Amino acid sequence: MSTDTPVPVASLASRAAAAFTAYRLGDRDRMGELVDLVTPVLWHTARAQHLDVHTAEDVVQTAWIRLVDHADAIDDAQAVLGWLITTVRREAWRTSKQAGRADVVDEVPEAALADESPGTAATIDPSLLAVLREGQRLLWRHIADLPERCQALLRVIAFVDRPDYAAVSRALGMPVGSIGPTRGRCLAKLRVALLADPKWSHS
Amino acid sequence: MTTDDSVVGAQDTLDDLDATILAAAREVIARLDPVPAGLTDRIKFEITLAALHAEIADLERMPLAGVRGDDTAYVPTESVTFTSSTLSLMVTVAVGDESPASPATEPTVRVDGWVTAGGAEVELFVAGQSFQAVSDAHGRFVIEGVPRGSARFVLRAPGGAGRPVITPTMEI
Repeated sequence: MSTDTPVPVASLASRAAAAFTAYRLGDRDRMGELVDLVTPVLWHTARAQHLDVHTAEDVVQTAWIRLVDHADAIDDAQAVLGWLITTVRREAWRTSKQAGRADVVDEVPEAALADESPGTAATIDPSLLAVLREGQRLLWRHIADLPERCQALLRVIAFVDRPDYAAVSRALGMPVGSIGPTRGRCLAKLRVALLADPKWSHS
Repeated sequence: MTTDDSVVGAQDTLDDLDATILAAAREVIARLDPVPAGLTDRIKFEITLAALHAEIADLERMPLAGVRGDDTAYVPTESVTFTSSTLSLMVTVAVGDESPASPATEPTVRVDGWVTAGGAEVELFVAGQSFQAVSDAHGRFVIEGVPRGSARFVLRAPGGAGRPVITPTMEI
């Protein structure tokens, strides 16, 4: 992505909708394209809910099978991205509850987790930080310093296109701090922290 | 908790710097927590299976004592039987008796199978690959050079009649 004036690009939701529509019209192969397009977002949605790698894989797979089973029940193809994200979030919540996690409440939480939680950064293997360039490590440190729900939001938003931000924030159940069309609290915090850091350069 | 207005710029419209930050965040997160290799292939496979509306076979595991390969080598084998309303399948897995071509090459296994129909189409899915065979007049088939991993068989009656049968996952 460049910093030039953005060329209008199809949003992830639109590309997903096109593949999903073709699939429903009988072009079965387009489902593979949909899987390639959306799985990264779903992966980070699951991981941002503190699922380990194995459980996150199961949850993402389950969401896809649900989609195949319920393909006709989705009225608006444009909503398929949000439907999948919501399904992963609910399935992640259900799985965590079954596993008896003490910090899981009885309802699908509106805004995923409390600000005091250890942070979604805690699910990352610290030894992997060695693969990052210095500037990337700096950015990651600032992300990891954000409140939990902001980390969870940014982790997913980073994998969708700008026109998707508002719908994806909604699908994540994050009215507070949501991104799009305004910057929102979470991204604003990160931006302020980066701009205040003399070591950070965005060139 | 703070409100949106308490953070500088929270109410501003997204600009190019925001796009730059998010693009950099995407790169960092993708490196720190990559989508597991093969996940999308596994998902596509599961979707294909779901679309087959296949009958899922029951597993009957029958561990056998190892059989003697020659005077010294003791080749472990395991025989597993799957049953369904139409077709049954018995498979025996033998660890490849030849050494791998080089230390870097993963050892493979040989799968000997028997289906209760000649001319049945057998497809073995393992480690993101698929292997095809057709059972002979006695229902036998052999698939060699199979990598180890979680495996599933899909069976189709001769001529593709009836519902396909899918086995549960077995480790080979």
